[in-house]
Amino acid sequence: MVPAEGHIAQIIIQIIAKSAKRRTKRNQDYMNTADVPPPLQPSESIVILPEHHLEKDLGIDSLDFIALIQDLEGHLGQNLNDEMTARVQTVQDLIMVAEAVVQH
Amino acid sequence: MKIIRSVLKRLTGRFKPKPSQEDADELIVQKLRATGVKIGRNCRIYSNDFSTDPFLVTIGDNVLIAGGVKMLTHNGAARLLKARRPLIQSFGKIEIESDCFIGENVIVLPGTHIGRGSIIGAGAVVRGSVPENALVIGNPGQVVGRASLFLERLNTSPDTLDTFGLDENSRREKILGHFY
Repeated sequence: MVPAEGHIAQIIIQIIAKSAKRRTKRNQDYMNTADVPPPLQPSESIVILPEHHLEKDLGIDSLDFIALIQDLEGHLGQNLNDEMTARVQTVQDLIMVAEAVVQH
Repeated sequence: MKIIRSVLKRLTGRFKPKPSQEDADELIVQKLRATGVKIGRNCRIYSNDFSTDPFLVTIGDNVLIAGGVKMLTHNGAARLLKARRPLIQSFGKIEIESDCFIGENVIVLPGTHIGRGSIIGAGAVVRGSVPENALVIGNPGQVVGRASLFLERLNTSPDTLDTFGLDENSRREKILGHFY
């Protein structure tokens, strides 16, 4: 349970947090009546750890994932490899794929 | 004579083999071609809403168009000017390049060009020029990423199974076995 270190890891965590924030806001927009479950936690209070599963722990679905990669590629200034990126399951997987691209 | 003929017709009709899915798909494509839609090879099209001007729609090879998709080739708002121009109508071509997927209930506006290999998510409203290999969702339709990455991700997803073309029972069993 150690937070991720390194420049790329920080960028990735910021981008993931942004995606979670959008999701929370969207839920709040629609769920303003009394008889619906409370919205997801605000992203500021979500701790994102390397071992977190993108979908199961952070609620990032396939479309969120594609948008997140687009965002990340904008920050890195280069594209990630589709096949390697598609296998990403956890935050750490994504950090490794991104670091591999930047080092080359 | 008439009775015999009708009995014969009914009998032969009963033993006629059910058309395969491929034949049924091809029939839809042929009907659309007859209305003037230009369609490439190996397409599957489950929508027949090609507006009043289907001859303005061009579709490449290996394109899949889901049900409920609307191709709008004219802008009806132009008729608000009919007091000034009684015969007025405004049009736009629709071009869909090869290897695209257009999801359920997508609305394609006049003048849209969709680049090769793009995926349009269900319910999107597309207009203007969509680059190749784009994943487009929402209204207004926006490019959120690469279609090729989405497909790679789909291929590795645990809920992606190999069930196409299986008979109804084995297909059902395989899907239920996966989820329960």
